Amino acid sequence: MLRGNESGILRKAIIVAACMLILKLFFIQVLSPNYKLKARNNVIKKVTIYPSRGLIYDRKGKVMVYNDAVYDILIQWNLIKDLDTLKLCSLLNTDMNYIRKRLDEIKRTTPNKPTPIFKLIDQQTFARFQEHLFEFPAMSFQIRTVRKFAYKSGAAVFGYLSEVTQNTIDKSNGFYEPGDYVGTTGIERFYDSLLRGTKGYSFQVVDVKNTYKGKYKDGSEDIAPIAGWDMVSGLDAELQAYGEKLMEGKIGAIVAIEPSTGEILAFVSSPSYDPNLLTGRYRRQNFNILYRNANHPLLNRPIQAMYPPGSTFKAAAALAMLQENIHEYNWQWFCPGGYRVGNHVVKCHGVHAIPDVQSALQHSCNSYFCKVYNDFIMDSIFASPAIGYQKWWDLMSEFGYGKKLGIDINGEKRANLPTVAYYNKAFGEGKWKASTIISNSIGQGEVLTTPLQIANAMAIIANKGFYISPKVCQYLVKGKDYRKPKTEKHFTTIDTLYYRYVIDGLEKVVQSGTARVAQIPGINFCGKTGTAQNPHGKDHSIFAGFGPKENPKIAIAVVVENAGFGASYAAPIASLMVEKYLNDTISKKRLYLQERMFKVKLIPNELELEYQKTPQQLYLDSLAKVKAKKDSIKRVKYVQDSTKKSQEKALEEKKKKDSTQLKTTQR
Amino acid sequence: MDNKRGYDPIDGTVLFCYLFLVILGIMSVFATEYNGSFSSSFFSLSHNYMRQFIFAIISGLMFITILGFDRRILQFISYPMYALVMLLLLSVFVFGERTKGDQNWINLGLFKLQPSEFAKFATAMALAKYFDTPSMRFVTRKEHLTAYAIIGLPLLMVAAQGDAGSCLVFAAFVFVLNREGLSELLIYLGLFIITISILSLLINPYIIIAISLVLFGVLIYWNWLNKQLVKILAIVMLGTCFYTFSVNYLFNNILQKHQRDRINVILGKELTKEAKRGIAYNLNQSKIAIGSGGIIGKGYLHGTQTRYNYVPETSTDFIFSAIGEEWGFIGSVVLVMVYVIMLLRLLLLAERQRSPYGRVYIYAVVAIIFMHVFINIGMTIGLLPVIGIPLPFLSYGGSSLLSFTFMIATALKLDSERRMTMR
Repeated sequence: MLRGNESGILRKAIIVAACMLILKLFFIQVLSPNYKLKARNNVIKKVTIYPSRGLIYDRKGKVMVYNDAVYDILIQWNLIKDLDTLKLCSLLNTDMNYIRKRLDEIKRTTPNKPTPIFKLIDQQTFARFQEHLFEFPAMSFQIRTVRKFAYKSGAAVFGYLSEVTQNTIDKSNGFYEPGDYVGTTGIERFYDSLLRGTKGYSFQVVDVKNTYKGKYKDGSEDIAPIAGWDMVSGLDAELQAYGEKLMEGKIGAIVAIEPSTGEILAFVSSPSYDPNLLTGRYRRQNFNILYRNANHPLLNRPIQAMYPPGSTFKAAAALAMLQENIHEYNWQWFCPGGYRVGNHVVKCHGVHAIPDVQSALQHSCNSYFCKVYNDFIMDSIFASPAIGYQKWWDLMSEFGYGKKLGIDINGEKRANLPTVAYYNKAFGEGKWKASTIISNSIGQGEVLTTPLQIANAMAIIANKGFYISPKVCQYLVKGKDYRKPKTEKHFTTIDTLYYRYVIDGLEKVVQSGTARVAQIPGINFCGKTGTAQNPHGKDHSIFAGFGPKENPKIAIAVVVENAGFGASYAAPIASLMVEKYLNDTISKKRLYLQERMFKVKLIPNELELEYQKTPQQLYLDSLAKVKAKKDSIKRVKYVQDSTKKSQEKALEEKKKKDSTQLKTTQR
Repeated sequence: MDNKRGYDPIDGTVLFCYLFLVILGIMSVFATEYNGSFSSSFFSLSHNYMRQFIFAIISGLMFITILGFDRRILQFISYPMYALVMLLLLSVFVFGERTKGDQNWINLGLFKLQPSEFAKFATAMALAKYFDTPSMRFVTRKEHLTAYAIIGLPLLMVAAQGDAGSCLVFAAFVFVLNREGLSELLIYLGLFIITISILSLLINPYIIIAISLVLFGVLIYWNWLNKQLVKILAIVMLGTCFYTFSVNYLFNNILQKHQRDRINVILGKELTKEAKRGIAYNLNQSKIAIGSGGIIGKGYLHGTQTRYNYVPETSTDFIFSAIGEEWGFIGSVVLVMVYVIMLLRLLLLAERQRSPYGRVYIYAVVAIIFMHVFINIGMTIGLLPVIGIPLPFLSYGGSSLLSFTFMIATALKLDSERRMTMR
C-alpha cells in the first residue's frame, strides 16, 4: 500500500531547520553579550539628579549664600502637536524668534529626547506656566538650583557660576556634562570641587516614545546625590554689606582681615553689583551689561587692581630703618618742606621739625623718609647701592609686598616691588643709586600694591611680626567631616620692639596726625593715610590701619580711586568699618560722617540705575530694542525718544552734580 | 486500544502540544500588552489578549465540533470547501484591504478575515482528496498536472496579493508530493536555485559561473559513461550560467522594494536610509529583544524591549521576540522542541494512516506548520528575510488560530478513525 519515500525528506528538513534555529539562538542569546547592553541603552534613561551646592555662612553663622529652586522647561520635539507658541511667549516672557530658533536647534540635535527649551525659569514665572502645562503635552520640566545671595553683596568674593566650557568638561574626568554649571570666579571657583557635591542618577524605564514607564529595578540601582560641603567663611555679612554701601558711587576697594587668623572679614570691590544678577535666566544679558560698563565692575579690585601704596608704605619703611639700625628711633630731622634730589624736589606738606619716628609717621613727612631711604641704600656698610637696595627689598618683601599672598580667590596679582635686576635693566648695572629711585621711599614710583597687600602689611604690624596667609574660608563641613584650608604663618625678621615704636606712631596718626577724622570713641585705632599720585587723574585716597591697638581684631585697607587725600575718603570709611565691626553700631557723633560717605558719588550713577531694574525689566528693555529696530518708523521714534531721554538724564545729572558740589563747598 | 467500532482515542502528544502552544500564545499576547498594573478594564475586549482568549474558546468549540464529524463528511466537503475558499481568495481582489502592501484581508465588520490562512487548510484537504481517488497512482502526466494545479491555484492568487509568506507555505506542498513519489531532485533543485540566487547577489556573477563550469566539468568527466546523467548535468550547468546573469534582473524587477530591502538586510548589504530606519531597525530591535533575554530570560512580564514597543508587531508576527526575551535561550529551545515534537509526532501519525487521504492530509499539515514556524522564528532572529507570516497557535489573530485549529483537529480526527477505512 505504502509508496514513495516513506522516511520522507520532510523529517530531515524539520530536524535540520530546528538545529539551525537553535544554533542561531545560541549565538544571539548565549554567546553575544552586546544585545543585553543594547537593550539596556534602549530602555533605560539615566536622569541626573543635581546635588545641592554647599551653603556659605558668615563668621557669625548667618547664611550668606544658599540655593534656590528654578526650573528648566523641556520639550520633546517628536511629540509636539499644535504648539501654541503665542501662549508660550506670553507665559514665559520670551519672543517668537527665540522659540523658533530653539525649536530648530532641538529638531536638528535631539528630537527624540526631552531637551531644555527654556532654562532656569524662576519660581513665580514657573508657577504661572505650570497651570497651563497640561496644554503642552510635549513639555515637561526638571528642577535645577541657582545660587541666591541673602545680603545681595559679596559679588567679588563669592564669584559666579557659569555653564561649563568644553575644555572644562574634557579636563573633569567625566564629572561635568554639557549644561552643568561650574564656579568660574571667586571662592565658588576655588572651592568648586568641594562645594559642588556629587551628582546622583536615577534610572528610569522608558518606552519607544520616551515616555516614563517606571523606575528601573524599583530604583535599586539609583545613586543618590551627595550635597556639597558647606562653608563657614570668615566674612562678616553685615560688615561686607556695610562696606559695599559705603563704597557706592566710588571706585576702589576695601579689605578687612582678622590679624590673628588671617581670615578675611570684608572684601569689597567697587563699583559692586548684586551677585543675584549673575544667576538664573538672565545671567548672560546681565553679564554683558556689567562687562561693557566703563567702570569695570567685574574687575576684582582687592586682588587685581594695583595702586601705588603712597604713604601707607612708610610704616614698613620705618620698621626697615629701625631693624637695620640706620637711625635710632629718636633720630631728629628738620624738614625744610621738601627733599632735594639733584634738580628735583620731593615736596612735603610743610616745614616741620621731626623729633622721632612716631612724629614722622604722624605728619607723614616725605623728606624724613626720603632721607632715611637714601641713608639706608647708600649706607657705608654696603659695598654698593645695589646691595643696599637688595637688603631693603628683602625686608620690604617680608611684608608681603610684591608677592602673592595665597588668598583662596583666583586671579590674585603679584603687583610690583621692583627688584635689583629690574633697575639694572632699566638704568644699567652700577649706574643707579638711591637718589635715582627716591620715589620708592614714599610708596610712589615703581612700587605697586594691591589693597589686599596693604591690608596684610597692616595685619603684620598689628601682629608685631607675622602674618597668616589671608583666607576667606574658615572651614568646610559635611555631616561630621570637617576640613580646614592650609594656613601658613610667615614671620618677619624685624624685632618686636621696633613694632612698638611704629604702632605708637600709627596711633598718633589717628589721634593727632593726618587721620584725625578716623578717631573712634572708645577704640584705640591706629592707621596711616596715603595719597597716591597716579597718571589717571586725581590722587587715590588710601588708608590702612588696625584696631584696637592693644589687642588688634581687625586690620583694614581702603582705597578710593581719584578721590584726593587719604584723610578725605579712605580714612573715614576705614574708621566706620572698624567701628561697625567692633561696636556693631556707629556712635551718634559720627553718624554725620556715615551720611556723608553714603551720599558722596564720585562716579556717574548710571550703573546704579541699571542695577535698580529687575533682571526681567532689563531683558524686556533689550527685547524692546531688538523689536524696535525691525520697524523703521519705530526705529526713528525710538532714536528720538532715547535721545530725548538721554538729554533729560544729562540735565538731571548736571543739576544733581551742581547741588552736590554746592553742598561740599558749603562744608 | 481496540474497541468494537474501530475508534482510537485522539493522539495525546499532539493534543498536549496544541494546548501548550495556544495557552503560551495567550500568555505572550498578554505579556506584550501588560503595562505593569491591572486596571478595571482588564477584561475589556479592546485588549488583544482578551480577543485572543475569545478566539481560543471558539477554536476549542470548533475542535470539539470537528471531532464530532464523521470522517466521510470531512472527505466529502473537501472539494466544496476548496472551491469556496478559492472564491474567497478571489473576492479579496475585490473587497480586500491592504496592510503593508499585502492585500489579503476581508473586512467583515466584526472581524477581519484572512482567506489565505484558510486556503492552506482547504488545499491540504483537496490535495488529500485527490490522492484518495482509487485510480490515483501519481505517475501519469495528467495526475501530476492536476496535483500541481490544486496547489498552484491558491499559490498564484496569494502571490498576486503580495503575500510572500503564504506563497512559500504553498511551495512547501512539494514535500507532500515528494512523499507521494515526486523525485527529490525537485527539492534539491529548489535549494540549489536558492543558493545560486544568494551567491549571485553577494558576489560577482562571473566568479560563480567560473566555479560552476569547473565543478560541473569535473562531475561530467567523472560520470562520462552515464550518458543520461551527463545530459542532466550539462543542462543544469547551462541553466546555472543563464540564471546567474538573470538573478540581479529578477531581483530588481520582480521583487517589490520592501522585499528587496528585507533580503538586503539579511545579506548585510548596504541599505537605503528608509530601509535602515524601517526594516533594519525593526529586525535589529527584535534581535536585541531576543538576545537580551540571555540564557534564562528576564522572566515572564519582565521583558522591556517587547513591552515598551521597541519591537514592532510583537503580538502578531514578532511574538517570538517576546518569548525569547522573557524566557531566554532555555524557553526558546523548549518552544522549538515542542514544535519539533508535534511535527514529528504528526509525521508518525501520517505514516500510520491506512488511506492516502489521511496520509496526504496530515503530511500537508506538517509541511504547512513547519514552513510557518521555520520562517517566522528564522526572521525574528535574522536567519531569514522578514516575511509577514504568523507563528502557528501563538501569534495574535483569529483567522490564523482558527485555521490551524481546523488543521490539527481534522488530523487528529482522521488519525483516531484510521482503522475504519480498511474494513
